[in-house]
Amino acid sequence: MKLQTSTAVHSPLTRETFIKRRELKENSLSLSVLLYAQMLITAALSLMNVASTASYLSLLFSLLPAALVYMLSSFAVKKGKTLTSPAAFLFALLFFSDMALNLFSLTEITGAYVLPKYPRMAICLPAALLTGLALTGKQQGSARRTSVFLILFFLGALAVCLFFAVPESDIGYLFPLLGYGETEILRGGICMTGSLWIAAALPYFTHAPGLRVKTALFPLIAVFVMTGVLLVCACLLPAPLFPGDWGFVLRLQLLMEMSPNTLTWSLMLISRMLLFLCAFASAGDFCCECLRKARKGRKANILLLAALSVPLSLLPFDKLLPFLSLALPLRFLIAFAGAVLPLFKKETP
Amino acid sequence: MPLSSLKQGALTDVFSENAQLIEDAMHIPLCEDSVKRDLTVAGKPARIYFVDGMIDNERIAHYMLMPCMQTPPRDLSPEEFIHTALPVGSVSHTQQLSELLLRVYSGDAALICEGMTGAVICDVKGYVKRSVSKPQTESVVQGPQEGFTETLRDNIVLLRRIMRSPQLISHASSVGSRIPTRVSVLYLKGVAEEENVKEVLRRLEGCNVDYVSSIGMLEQLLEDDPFSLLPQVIATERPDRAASFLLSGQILIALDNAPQMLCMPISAFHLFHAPDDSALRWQYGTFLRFLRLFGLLCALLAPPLFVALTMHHTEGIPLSLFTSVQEAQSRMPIGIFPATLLMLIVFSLINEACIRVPAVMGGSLGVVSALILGQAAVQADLVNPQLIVMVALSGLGSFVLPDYPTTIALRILQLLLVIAGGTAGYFGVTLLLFLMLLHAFSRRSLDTPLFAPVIPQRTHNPDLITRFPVWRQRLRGYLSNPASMLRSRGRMRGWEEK
Repeated sequence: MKLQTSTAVHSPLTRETFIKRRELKENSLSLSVLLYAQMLITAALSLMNVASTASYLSLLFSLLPAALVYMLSSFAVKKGKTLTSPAAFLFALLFFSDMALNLFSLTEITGAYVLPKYPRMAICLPAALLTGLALTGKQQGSARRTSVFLILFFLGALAVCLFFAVPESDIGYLFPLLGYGETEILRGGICMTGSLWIAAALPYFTHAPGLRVKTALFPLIAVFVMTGVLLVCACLLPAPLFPGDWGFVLRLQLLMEMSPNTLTWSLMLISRMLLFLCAFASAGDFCCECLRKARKGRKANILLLAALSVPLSLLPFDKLLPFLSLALPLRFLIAFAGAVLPLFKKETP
Repeated sequence: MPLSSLKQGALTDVFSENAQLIEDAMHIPLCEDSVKRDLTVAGKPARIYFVDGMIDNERIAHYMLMPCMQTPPRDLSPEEFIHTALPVGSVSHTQQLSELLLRVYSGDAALICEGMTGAVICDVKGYVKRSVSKPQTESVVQGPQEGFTETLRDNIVLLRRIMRSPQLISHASSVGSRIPTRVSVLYLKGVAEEENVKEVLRRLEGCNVDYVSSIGMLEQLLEDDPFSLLPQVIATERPDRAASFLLSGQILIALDNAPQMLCMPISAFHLFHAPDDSALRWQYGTFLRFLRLFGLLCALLAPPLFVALTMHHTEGIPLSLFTSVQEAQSRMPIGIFPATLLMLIVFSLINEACIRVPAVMGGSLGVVSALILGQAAVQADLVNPQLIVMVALSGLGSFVLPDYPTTIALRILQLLLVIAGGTAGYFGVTLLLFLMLLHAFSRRSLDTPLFAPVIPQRTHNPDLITRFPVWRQRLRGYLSNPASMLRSRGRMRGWEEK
C-alpha cells in the first residue's frame, strides 16, 4: 500500500516565498488596524467639534495627499529601493507618536466609561508596561499577528453596531453639504491627512520586488470602513453645529455609533479598547523594526518604548487642539520625507 | 545502582565472571523475586536469569529450558545457539550488562553458558496486564470503542492494526537513568517532517531524569514552553485518533506503563476537536465544533463579564435585569466579586471531588453539590441566583471541551479574568484578554506556531473550526512533509465523474 499519494507541491524556494508573502500580508493587515485606529483618534480629536457631514467630507479631502505619498513610496519600492536609515528613523518617530496617541485614546476612553475614579496614570501605566512586558523577548511580528486575528473582531463588532445604528439614521442630516463651513472642512481634512501618513510607509512594509501580493486591498478596506463610520455618524448626528467644547470623550462616544442598546454599547466599548491596545502594540512592533533598520541591525527594546510613550500619552491633547491642528499635519510632512528619501539613495554596485 | 552506571559492564566468555556480575547487579539472593536457574546446555554449565512473575512459566519451560537441556554436547557460538537451539520468536544476543538488566526487568529471560561470550536473551514475557477496554476520557458516540492500555507493545499493536503499512516507523528508545522506561517514537515515514522526527529524538535523548513515572511527566520534559498555561502537546488514549494524527504528519510518543500517547506538534485547534468529529457527517461535525466554540466563550467570559457589568458598568445591563440583580444582591451578605470567585472555586472543588470520589459515592456527591450548594445557598440568601446561572453556564461551557488539560487551563484563566473584571471592569478584562492573545499567538509546539495555520497563515486541511466534507479535505495539513501535502489525486468522489 502506498500512502504517499501526492507529488511535491512545495520546493524550498516556494516555501521561502510563501513565508515572505505571509509576512507582507500580516504587515498589511496590521497597518490597516493602525490606520483605522489613527483615523478614529484624529476624527475624535479634531473633527467632531464640527461633526456631521464635515467630518465625512474632510476625510474624502484627505485621501488625495495620502494617495500621492502612497504612489511615491510604491514607485520607490518598484525601483528596488528599500528603507534607508534616515527614512527608517523618521518612520520610527511616527510609529512612536502612534503609540502615544493610541495609549492616550485608551486612557481617555477607559477613564470616561470604565474607571472614572482612577487617575489617568493608573490606567495608562499598567496598560503600557504590561503590553511592553508581554512583547519583550517575543518574536518580532507577534503583535502584528494578534492584530490580524483581532481585525475580525473589530469588523464584527462594527457590523453589529451599524446594524443597530443604521435604522436610526436620517440621510437628511447630510444636507446642505457645505453648511458647516468650508474652512472647518479644510482644517479637518488637513488634520486627518496626518493620520493617513501610514500610506507613505505601507509599500515599504507590504511590497517586495518580484513578489506579487494582493495586500493593497486591506488598507483600502480600512479607509472604506472609516468612511462608512463617519458617514453613519453624519447621518446619526443632528444637523446643526455642536456648540462649545465637546471634549474628546464625548466625541468618541459619538463615534461609538451612538449605540442604541446596551449590547452594542458594551461591544463597542470593548472593541475600541482592544483596538487601541492592539494598535499600540503593533505600532511598537513596527517602531522596533524601523529602529532596527535605522541602527543597522541593533534591536530596540519595546518595553522601553512603551514606558517612554506613557508621559506623552498623559499630555492633555484635548486641551491642545490648536497645537494639534499644526502637529498632526506635520506628521504627514515627516512621512512624505520618509517616502521620498529612499529615492535619493545611490545604487551600490 | 543506576543502570546508566553499568554501561561499562561488559560480559565476557568466562561463565563464573558473568554470573557474578549479573548476580551482583540483580542482588541475588537478597532480592527474592530475582531468580537464577542452573542447567546444562550442550554439556556445559549454564544459568538462566529472570524475574519471577514477569515471565510466562509455560513459555520458559517449553521454549527455553527444554530445548536447552536437549541440546547435544558440542561447542556453540551464540549465533549458532540462537539459530539451532531456541524456538523463540524474539531472541537476541548481548554483551552489555545494562541491556541485559533492562530486558530481564522487562520480562525477558537471560541465558549465560560456559564458553559463550555474552548472554542470550529470550522474550518469554508473561506479566499481568490490563486488557483492551473502552477509553475513559475520550468517549465517543460513533466510532471505535477501544483505548490504549498500559503496555507499550499492545499499544503499538493497536495502532499497527489500524495502519497496516511498513511506512509506520516505531523508533524504540528509553528515558530515565536509574529506572529506564521504554519509549517509542512513532511516525509515518514520508508523511512526517524529518526535521520534526529528529527534533523529538533530540529532545528525548536530552531528558536527564532518573525516572519518568507518567506520560504527563514526559510531556513536561518535552514541551516547548513549560511555563505557559496552554497545552502544547495532546495526549490521546484512542488508537484511531492517534492514527489520524500520524496521517496528518504528526509524531506520536508512546511510553511504557502509560495508557495514552503524546502527539507533537499540534495546533491549538486540535484541542477543540473531538475524536468522533470525523466519524460524523460534516454538517453535524461543524455544528458541534461551533457549539464547542460557544462553550469556550461562555466558560471564559460569562463570569468575568457578569462581574464587570454588575460592578462597574451597570449602564451596560438592560434595566429589567439590572433591577433583579440589584434586588437579589441587596439581601446577600457578600458582594458579587468575592461571591463569583467563591462559586468558581466551589465549582472546581465539586469537579475535582467528582473525579476522585469512588463511583459508588458519585450519587451522594451529586445531591450534595446540586441541592446543598446550589438550592440551599440561594434559599439562604448566600449567593445571587443570577450568579449561579452564570457559573453553571461557564461550567457547562468548559465541559464541552474534549481536552482535559485545556479545561484546567480554562478554569485558571477564568479566575484571572474574574479578578481583572472585578478590579478594573471591562478595561481589566480587555487588557488581560489582549495579553493572553499576545501570549497565545507567540507559543510554539515543536517549533511550529501553536495557532497556525490561522496565525500565522499556512496551507491547511479545511478541518479547523468548521469541518469541510471529507471529500473536500484533499490537503494533509501544514504539519506534514510538504512533499506529501496532498492526500489524493483527483476527485475523492471519483465515481461521480462516471
